[in-house]
Amino acid sequence: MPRTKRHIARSIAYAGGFLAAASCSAWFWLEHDRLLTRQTELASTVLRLERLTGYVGFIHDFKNAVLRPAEPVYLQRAEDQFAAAMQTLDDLQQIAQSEALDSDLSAYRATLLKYHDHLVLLRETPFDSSNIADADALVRVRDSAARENLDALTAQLSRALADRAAPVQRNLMVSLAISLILLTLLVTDQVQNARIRAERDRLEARQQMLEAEQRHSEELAQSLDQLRQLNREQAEFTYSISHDLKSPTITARMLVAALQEDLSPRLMAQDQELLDDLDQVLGRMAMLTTDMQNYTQALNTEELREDVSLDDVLDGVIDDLRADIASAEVSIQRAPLPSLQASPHQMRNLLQNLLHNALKFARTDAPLKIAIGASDAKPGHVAFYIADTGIGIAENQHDAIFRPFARLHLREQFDGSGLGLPICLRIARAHGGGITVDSTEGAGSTFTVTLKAS
Amino acid sequence: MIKHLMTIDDEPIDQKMYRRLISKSGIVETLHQPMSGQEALNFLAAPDCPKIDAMLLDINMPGMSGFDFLEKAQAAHGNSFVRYAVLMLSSSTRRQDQERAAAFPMVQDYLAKPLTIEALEAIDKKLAEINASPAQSIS
Repeated sequence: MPRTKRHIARSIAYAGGFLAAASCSAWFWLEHDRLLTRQTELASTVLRLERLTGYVGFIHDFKNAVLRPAEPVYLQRAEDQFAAAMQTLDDLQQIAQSEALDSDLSAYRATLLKYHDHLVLLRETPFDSSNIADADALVRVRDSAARENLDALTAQLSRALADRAAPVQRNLMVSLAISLILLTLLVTDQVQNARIRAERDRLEARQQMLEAEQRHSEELAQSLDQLRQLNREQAEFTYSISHDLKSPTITARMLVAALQEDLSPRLMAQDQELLDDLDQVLGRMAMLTTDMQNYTQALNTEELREDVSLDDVLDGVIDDLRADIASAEVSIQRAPLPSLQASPHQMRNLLQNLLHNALKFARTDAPLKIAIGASDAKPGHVAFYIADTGIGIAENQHDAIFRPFARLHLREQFDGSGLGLPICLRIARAHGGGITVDSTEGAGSTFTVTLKAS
Repeated sequence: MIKHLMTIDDEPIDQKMYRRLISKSGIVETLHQPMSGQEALNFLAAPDCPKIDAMLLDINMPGMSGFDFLEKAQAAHGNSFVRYAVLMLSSSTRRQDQERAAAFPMVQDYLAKPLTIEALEAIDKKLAEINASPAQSIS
């Protein structure tokens, strides 16, 4: 990845720069240390020279030798001090030379040699120390030039060393600063890169998760599409089948009616019974195909919605079922029903099935009472109930009654397609609602239907 | 000759057609026609209940299905309440129905409706074989 490559290159540059700057710092530090040592060495050599020469050194012993000729120890000590001073002078010049600096100490050297000449004279020529004039002549050597010479040289050398140390020190500071900056950059870069990498990893993981989610939801959407398509095809197929079964059934019933009409004078009683059974079976088949169509159609949520008054729908349904109502000795108690936006055809189907059920599942030992009216509904919905005093439904069958072809009764007792309540439930759901049942076996049932108001 | 045949079916017209076919075949001595599993159980539990040789059992019945009946009958009478039972199915045999039927040794065949004379004669023949070799009979 270019980002990674760039980061590695940058890291190498920082690390290399830091190592170079640190090496320079080390070198400058050593050089600075060396120059400081030289300065100390110079100072101590100058001090030694002055001691060897001055009050506790050569000239002091020389003067004592002049004043006390009877004590030859001063003569010998002066000689030793002189040799040591000369050696120290050489050392001093050695130091200057090692730093490639000029070291003119000729004036100092000449003064020392002059004293030494006087010392040689003193040793070789008998001397009367009581003669003040002679003694004075012997010890009087002009030495101001020597002192100036040494002072000048010392100052010159230490200035030169200081001049050399100054840039080294400056360079040391600069290289230390540079290495510190590079080190900081290196560390910061590593930290930042680690942070960037962590962030990138997090983003990548998130991206992958999002992609997986998207793939998943696409797959789901595809499956859903396939399912919808399949469901639609299945519904269309079922609808076609029920439709195509219906017309031959009707034709067959007409054929049976024709046969009965033509043959009835000649038919034996048992043959007549067979024809009646055939007509009954064909009637059941016609009912089944009609309900299959209704059941399939109840899925169609796109059916045109209109303003529907359930009271008007109920009027029509009661009119349709008036024969059943008249024969069942039933009292129907009506309270106003709500209006809503719905498929009028499906609303009729819904009320017809529910009222038909209430009439069908009546008790034989008590008069049937049916009550219909509006119920409380949550906002945006309407609801109504249809209660009967019929045979009721056992608690454990409250779910089963909404399943297609769930058979709870012998056909002899209660005939039906097995699709009535499943159709009602589908219609209610297609209208954004549902159906609940409240029933005790033997004591009647109350169905409550909820529907979206629009 | 089938001495005692029982057809258990809740459809009155179907029962009527069995009766017609069986009486025409002339190979059944006595026909018992309970209209539900419960009625059949009551019949089997009666003290004077004759030995049922063969049974034609509808699976799809309201309240108590054919399988429910078999379980209850087996619990009450063991495997000997019938010699030869045939399951009758209004649609083609489903695999889970076959698996469920395997639990009942007396269930020896399946039959797709409608019932025919040939099917009845085959049952008669099978019963004759069972009677000829009692070792193979179901205990």
